[in-house]
Amino acid sequence: MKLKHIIFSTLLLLTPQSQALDVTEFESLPIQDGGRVKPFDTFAKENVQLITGTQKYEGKNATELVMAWLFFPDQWLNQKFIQIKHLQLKKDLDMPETQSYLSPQDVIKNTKLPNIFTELMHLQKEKKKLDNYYTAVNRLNNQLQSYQEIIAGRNIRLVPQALSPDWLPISDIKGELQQAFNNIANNYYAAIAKKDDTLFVNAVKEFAQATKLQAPQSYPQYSEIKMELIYNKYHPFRIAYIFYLLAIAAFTYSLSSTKKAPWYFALALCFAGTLVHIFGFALRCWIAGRPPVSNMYESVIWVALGCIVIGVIFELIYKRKYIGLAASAMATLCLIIGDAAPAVLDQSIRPLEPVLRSNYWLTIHVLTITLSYAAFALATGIGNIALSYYVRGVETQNKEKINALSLYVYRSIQVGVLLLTAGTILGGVWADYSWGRFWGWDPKETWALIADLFYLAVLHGRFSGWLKAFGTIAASVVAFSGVIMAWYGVNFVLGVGLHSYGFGGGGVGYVGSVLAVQLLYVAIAGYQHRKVLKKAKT
Amino acid sequence: MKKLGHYIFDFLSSIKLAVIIMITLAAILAYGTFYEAEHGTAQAQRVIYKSWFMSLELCLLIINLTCAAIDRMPWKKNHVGFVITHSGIITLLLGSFITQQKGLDGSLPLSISETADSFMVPEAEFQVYQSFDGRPFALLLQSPVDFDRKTPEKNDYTFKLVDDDVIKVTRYIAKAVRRIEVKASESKASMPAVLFKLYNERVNVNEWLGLDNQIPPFYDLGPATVSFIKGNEPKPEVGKNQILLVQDPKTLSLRYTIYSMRQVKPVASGIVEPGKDYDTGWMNLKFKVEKYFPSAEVDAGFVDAERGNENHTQAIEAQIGNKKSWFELGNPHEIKGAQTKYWVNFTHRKFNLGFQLNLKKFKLATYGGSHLPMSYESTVLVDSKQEIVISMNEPLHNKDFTLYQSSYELNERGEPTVSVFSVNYDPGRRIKYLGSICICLGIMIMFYWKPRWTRKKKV
Repeated sequence: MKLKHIIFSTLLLLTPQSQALDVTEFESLPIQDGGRVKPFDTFAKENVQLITGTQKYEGKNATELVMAWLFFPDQWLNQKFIQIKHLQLKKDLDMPETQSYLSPQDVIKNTKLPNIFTELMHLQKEKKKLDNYYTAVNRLNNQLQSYQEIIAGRNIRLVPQALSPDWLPISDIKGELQQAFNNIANNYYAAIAKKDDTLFVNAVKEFAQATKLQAPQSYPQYSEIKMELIYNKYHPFRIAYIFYLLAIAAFTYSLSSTKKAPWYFALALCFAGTLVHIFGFALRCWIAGRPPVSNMYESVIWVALGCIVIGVIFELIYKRKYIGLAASAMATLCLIIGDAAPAVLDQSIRPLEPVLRSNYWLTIHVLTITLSYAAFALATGIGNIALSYYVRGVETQNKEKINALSLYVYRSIQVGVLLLTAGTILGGVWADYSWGRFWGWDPKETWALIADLFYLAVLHGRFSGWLKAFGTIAASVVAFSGVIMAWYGVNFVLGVGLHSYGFGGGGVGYVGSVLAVQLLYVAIAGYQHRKVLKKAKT
Repeated sequence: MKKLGHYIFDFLSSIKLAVIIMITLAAILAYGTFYEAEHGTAQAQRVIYKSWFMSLELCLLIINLTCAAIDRMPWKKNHVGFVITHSGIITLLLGSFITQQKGLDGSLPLSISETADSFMVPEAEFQVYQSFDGRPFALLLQSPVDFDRKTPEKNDYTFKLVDDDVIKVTRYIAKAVRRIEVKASESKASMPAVLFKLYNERVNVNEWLGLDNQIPPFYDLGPATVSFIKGNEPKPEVGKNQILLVQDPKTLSLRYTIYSMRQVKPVASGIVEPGKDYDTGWMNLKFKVEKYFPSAEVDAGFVDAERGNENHTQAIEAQIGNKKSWFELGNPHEIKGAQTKYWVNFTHRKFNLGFQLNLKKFKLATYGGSHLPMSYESTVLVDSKQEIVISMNEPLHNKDFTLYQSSYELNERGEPTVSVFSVNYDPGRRIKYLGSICICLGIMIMFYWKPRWTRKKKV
């Protein structure tokens, strides 16, 4: 037993250390996966994210980890790296609650897992909606499948074929190609032992050359692969929100400064952020070969962009600092949410469902609707800044500021209402064109209409004079809950209807709490405002 | 009196009413979406979106918009946006009304090489034929029915047939599942039936098995099967979780044998004692025979589906003389009158296309290296002349109809054999588009040009 342990630890020492090996060549090998050709790096990141819940593991990056799984599967048998989070599922598998990872061996030995998977299969066969428990079971099932496919090489499709659109996985390659791939594996072991990776890098290059010769016409250009590697490496949206964060600080400083310089500096930061943002967006379009209109993550990125663009335009018109502050705050919020919740907002680039393909109206419809969300988000941001005066009880001293802010809220809502109405109608046009019906009370379209009605009520209320400054601000902030429902709720809470290609799960607790805090904030502001009104009467 | 008229008009044209309508409409719709998540699309459409209070709400909206526009007459330049938007909403609603009244929305499934000239709509129809030799012969009655809105319990659905025979629809179930009632029978000629239960903490199956035509002798749970046989015990299939129930033809006793996929020998076997649990050895499942009738009388009917069970159909109960019988939607059968036999069909309504459509080919393309569908494409022949490709987002317009590629059906080998089109006729389309354009244009004028005009006026 002890001897086995010693052998095992020496083997562990032999596993590659990240600094010893140059895997950049391997990272840029094109692989066909999930319906498109991508760099190995992307494939590895997606699978490692799924299996371990992070993109790095014990100092190894995703590609190194996948290579280690592929070339040394037996060393990973007892390593605990398969993430499992659901408490009840842990209990059912007789795992301690504090432990969050399973090893492949744990899985093989577990006697209860097959039954649980059988039950999952049963539910899926009957097309029932999965609850939280079975969503966790389903995830575990996908994790194990993905891991098994990797170590068997069945989903590592590296070889294009001349006569078929399907690429061959390394489990099916023969002859010289097999030789070439084995060469990579052999040199990989040698590179680790000798701490010299020249032969390994050459082997990868030779293999790449050999696969390209199989079907040069379906092999991607190096530049295409490079673009995606850049996108993966630099996280343009992360850089963008760092700029926006700095812009928030600069705008906040400029509020208390009489000089113009901080304001210009803040605007410059916004511009810089926007440029990086647009660059990332364009890169993503270019990689996917389509406008990013297919899932929640892409819409979050687009709303952030819309918010900052509309906000900066307004800021340039009115030059009041608050709008820029609100816009950069909302954009930062969106981008951070997009960056921080990969389990809820899937960042991977996937091919489109048939009904979404090559459709001009669809693109316009989705971009218009989500742009309206951006305008409403901006209104909410400005509204919350205005509400802070009420909450702090300094309403009477800041009457002029509040009135100005309520005007900006009103203007943002006008932009939003036009875009949302047009976008909803365009959705009708698209539905008519694709399905033959203009309006069918589908939950997504119904909620878009409800959100529109909320804001229309605010506009009419202000027009008739019922809503004064406070009413307009408070009502528009509350109305944003309609947008949240249309945007997030229909897909993640209701989960019914024709817009199912955007459905997902998770995050309900967080979104609910944020909404609750927002409503509480409005309520406190309302309470303070009433106190002031009563005082004014007496 | 005149004063009251003024008062009413003022209210009907007021912004107050507009805001009330907006908020109540939003509330109804919001409730509707949650209702739909709970009860399904069809029921939500019926109970919420096509209900009398929705119609009332929309009528009020039209009245409000019209009165508000009249109230501001004579219109000035700064009313242009307002008038265009509001008339756009009225036009859009009008177009929708025309679509709802005159439009058709149906589906047309076609197998490869099949030809069709008509399509089905979701609305139902009640047909009665005089039957001859077990088949429909002469059409006696054909009537569109909407049992959802006008239930047989509250409305009279009595139809005269031949001689003094009268048929009456007595019950309707919107979400029906087949329910079988089994009683012990005195008659020696009857077939046996067994009610078994298979359960653990998560699974609970209660099913009748029988050798009568009305109930199946076999149940497939997925990971395991239960079979009911008369006579000699057959050899089990190796590598399957299986329970065999065998009736001895002489003693009429019932014998059980439980097989596991892990071993060749049976896990357990013996004579069944009704009500006793037997361990199956798979997934902690326990097996029990609840009831066993060596000869049984079977009565098949329909009951309301339980919540969460999406596997339901529509069914009606009809009565001729004192004989009642159940009819499932699209599943006609014969029923006897006093002298005559009738063929009763509760089915979807059909409409003529006005042309013939033949499906030549169906192509299902997937993204390379995956099973993700990329496109569906049907090649059809219209009136045996023109060959046309219908694909997602590329419909066929012919005569009054538009045909859309909607879905497909696969056979057991996973090959597509049936292409499903949705068929649409919409006379309100242009009116709706006109209304939509007006709304967008009007809002733009109101928000962006009106402020400029008013500013100029001030100068």
